[in-house]
Order: sequence, then structure tokens, then C-alpha cells
Amino acid sequence: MKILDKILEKSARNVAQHSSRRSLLTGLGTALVGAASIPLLPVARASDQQQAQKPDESGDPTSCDYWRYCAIDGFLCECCGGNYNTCPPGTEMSTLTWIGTCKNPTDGRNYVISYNDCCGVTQCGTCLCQRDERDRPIYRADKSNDVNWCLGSESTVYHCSTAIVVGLAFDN
Amino acid sequence: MHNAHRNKAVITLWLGILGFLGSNLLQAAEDSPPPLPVEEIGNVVRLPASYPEHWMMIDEASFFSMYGGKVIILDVLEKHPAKRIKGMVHKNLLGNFTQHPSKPEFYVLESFHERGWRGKKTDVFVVYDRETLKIQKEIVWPTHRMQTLPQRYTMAVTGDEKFIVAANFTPAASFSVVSVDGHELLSTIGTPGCVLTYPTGKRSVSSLCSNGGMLTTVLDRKGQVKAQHRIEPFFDSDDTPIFERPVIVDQQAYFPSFKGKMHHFDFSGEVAEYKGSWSLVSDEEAAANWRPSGLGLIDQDEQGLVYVIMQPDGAEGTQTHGGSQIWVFDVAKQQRLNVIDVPNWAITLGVTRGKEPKIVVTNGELVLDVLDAASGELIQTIADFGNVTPLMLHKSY
Repeated sequence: MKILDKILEKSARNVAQHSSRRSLLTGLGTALVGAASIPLLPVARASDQQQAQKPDESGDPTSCDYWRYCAIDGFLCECCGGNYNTCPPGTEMSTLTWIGTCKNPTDGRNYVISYNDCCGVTQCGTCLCQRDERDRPIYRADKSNDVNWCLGSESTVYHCSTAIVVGLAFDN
Repeated sequence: MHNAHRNKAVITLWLGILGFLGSNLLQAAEDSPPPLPVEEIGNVVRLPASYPEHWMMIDEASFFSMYGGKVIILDVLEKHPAKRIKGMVHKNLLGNFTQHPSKPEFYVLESFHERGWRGKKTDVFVVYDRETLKIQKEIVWPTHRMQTLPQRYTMAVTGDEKFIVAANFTPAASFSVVSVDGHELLSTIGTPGCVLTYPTGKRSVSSLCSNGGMLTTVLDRKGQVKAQHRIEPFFDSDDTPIFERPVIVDQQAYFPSFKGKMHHFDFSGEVAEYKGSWSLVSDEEAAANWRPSGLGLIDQDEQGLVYVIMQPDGAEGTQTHGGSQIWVFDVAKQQRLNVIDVPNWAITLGVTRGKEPKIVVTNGELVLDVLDAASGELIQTIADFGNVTPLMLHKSY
């Protein structure tokens, strides 16, 4: 409990709006993985878009409330020496992953988020964040954060999770 | 001369004191019990071949240090905190666990890297003797085992109790078959699009599919695939998802949906048969978003009653967060019998064997509350048993 309290203190800002304190604790209930490999993601690549203006987003990536984390379950790499789309030093980004669809409150668009795990170093152990929106059990591996998605990496040891924009959702 | 006299007097005094003490010590020794006997070195406790009904197997996932995963054998009714732990075995990197229902052994499927967190990975199937907790046999696994948060059906023993089946995920899905007699790896069978291992009939294994259907794999007597049958989709894995964590009562399987519909499968035959669904919640309760929620959110007692963790104000994303109540059902009659308010939230529950079952709950602080199943009264809270994240609770056999 003390360990969890410390984790909660560090990731405190987030939880309140989306889940009770208990639910964060329970949020351990799932952690890790997803299913489809990135090349198969059903998305329209953002890079294909004409960008007349600079894209915009806002929020605090150290907070579990950050918009990209809507389906996440794990330790936030932002607190572990990396950031929301980059792994901490010494780790390896998983090639297999699960995806979620999150709405960017700034531009109102839904984006496909790839929750690539960072692997090969022991569990980061802080900023535990569990949102699970549209997370599905492992029969839908492409949407499941219950699997250890470091399974395809050189080391299967899970460290933390990123949240990478890989495109606009189809409904956009 | 004066000093010589004084020294002699001092020596005489000391001799007197020592003599007095010596005689008293001898007297004390004669009055004392005999000294402790020399003890044998090397004794190790041996557990019973069949564990008492009130022991539970606690799957400690060790989510913050997965090298430390373990199964803790715990007497949940023991009042003395120091005497609750009966033993434990290792379960590395979110290892999988299941037990043989009648043979005194259980199984762990775990992973190791050559040098701790680095180097070549090896998955190992480990057979434990229930009495000694010694390893009887290890089998180097032929593929990547399924590595998830704890589940009850990543491994299972078939209905005829002759095979152990264990799920793989590479992410291509399959399961491997090990004989109970001799513990030999017999086969690995692909289950495209379908995961987990629900024992079905005598020698079949059902798996839940991404299209909302089921796949039943029938094994022959040698543990090889005999046939595979696909059952039509009965839910939408996007819009009406179900939990992959059923309760199986006398080979009747019940899969709760996220919103409280109970899907019934008959697993008694060679091939799984869908028997329809019914609702756990009334219209009013559905409107208040009472929903099943948790990790190990459902279990049964030996009388056939089913216990489900329920959550008020459920919403998308809260399906594994647990709840504040446990609802008790007679699933044969599709009838709710009781509602139990848990004292401190519930993430996972397990129910002990026997005619007077106890509900053991992993609560919101990740310690255990033990409740009387009939009255719902709290018997005791158990903390400090080597736990950090006790995410799954199993009956003992």
C-alpha cells in the first residue's frame, strides 16, 4: 500500500477526473499489451495530410488525464526518463503493440494511438495509469492492454508505455 | 608487610565468594531441566497431499517487480498472522498457473532470460509436487507462452484429467498439450484468431475468438488434434464485449458481458454449445449502470452458487476496476440470491471449497478481506503475507 501511495502521489493529478482512487488501484487490473503490428493499423497516416497550419494539442503528458492515454494501462514513460512518444534510454521500443482511439480536445479530432511498450529494463514502477477506454480482452488482441507486448522484443521485460499518434481515425 | 596482609585477606574473601557461587550453581544445575537436545539439521516441512478447504492459492503477479512473481499458499482462516503462509513457489514474469484437481501436483508456465532481464528467453513448464513444493519436472516450452495479467484459463486440465493445455501467443494464437502421465509435451495446435483454454467435454478445449465466436479443438487419446469446430459469433467484440473470464459450474460456462448480460455455454459435450443469454441486472439496475467489473471478477462455490463483483456507475473503461458489491446467483435458475456490500472495494474474488464457503477478496488496498459467503460478514483482513499485487485467487485442492 505504501508503494502504491507513492505511485499515486506522483501521478496524482490525473486520476480524479476519470476514475476513483480505488479504480486506479484496481487499475493494476490490466497492464500491457496489444495486438496488431503497426503496418497493419487501420489508419490514415497523418503525414499524408496537407498541413496548412501547425497541428495543435495541449495537456500534461505526466498526467494520466492526458488525452493520448485514453486506453493505456501501465507506467507512463514520461515519468521514466522518456516521454509520451519516446522510450527511456537503455530500453527497446516494442514492435508489437495495441491501439486505442482518443479524441484530441484541442482540435476535436479522433486519433489512432499506438501504445508501444518500452522493454528490456525492469518495471519503471511509477506513474501507473489505467484508463482502459475501449480496451478489450485478449480475444481482441489489437485492442487489448492485458498482454505483455514486449513479447516480440529482444527482452520481454516490460518497463513503461508510450502513446504515439499513428494517424487519424477512420471517422475523421 | 601491611600490604601483604591486606592482599591475603582480599584473596581469601574472593575464594569465599567463588565457593559460595559455585555451590549455588551446582545446586541450580541439579534443580534445572535437562539441556536442550541436539537437533537434526535439514528438516523441511511437508504439506498435505490434499490441502484444507480454507487454504487459497494466491497468484501474486508482482507487477512492480515481475521477477518476483509467486504463488502463495495461504490459510485464510488462520487468526495468527505469522502462521497463515503455508508455502510459496516462484512464478517469473507474469507466469501462468493451474492445478490438477485430483493428482497432488500443480503447474507453472514461466519465462526467464539467460541473465535476468537480458539474454535468450526460455519459457519453462514446471510441474510441482503439492506436498513437497519440489519441482518434479521441467519442460522447455516450444513457443512463446501467453504472457498476460493473471487469468484462470491460460492453462487448464482437460475433463478426463489426462492432459494439461496451455495457451500460447506470439501473437499468433495456439495451445500446447502436455500429458499428465509422464509429463511429456505432446503437441502444439494452432487456434487462429482464438485464445485461452476452456476445458470442454472429456478431451476438448474451447477458445474465445476475435469475431465473437468460439473454437472447440477436440483432442485424440494421444493429445493430438482430432477436429476443430467453429461456433457462430454470439457477441460483438467491439460493441457488446464480454469478459474472457467465465465461471464454469459442472461444465456449464457463464461469460458475463461488460454490461451485465450472462452468456451460457454448455461445455459438457465434445463441442461447446451456446445456450443463450440472460441478464444479471434489472432494467433499473441497468439504468444505474450496475455492471460486472474486476480482474478475477467471478467464481463459484461447491454448491454451484456464483459470485460476481458488481460496480455502480460503470462506464466504458471501468470494466476492470472492480466494484463495491458482490452479487450471488443461482445460475441454473438465473436468479440473484444475495447482495453483499464489501468493506473496502473488490478487484478480484475467489471462493473457498466446502459446504461453508468463504469469499476472499483482493480489496482496493491490494490486501485480502475474508468474508463469510452466507452472511457476507467480514471475518478478517489479511495483509503482510508477502503480497504487493495479489491479482488472482484460486481455490486449493
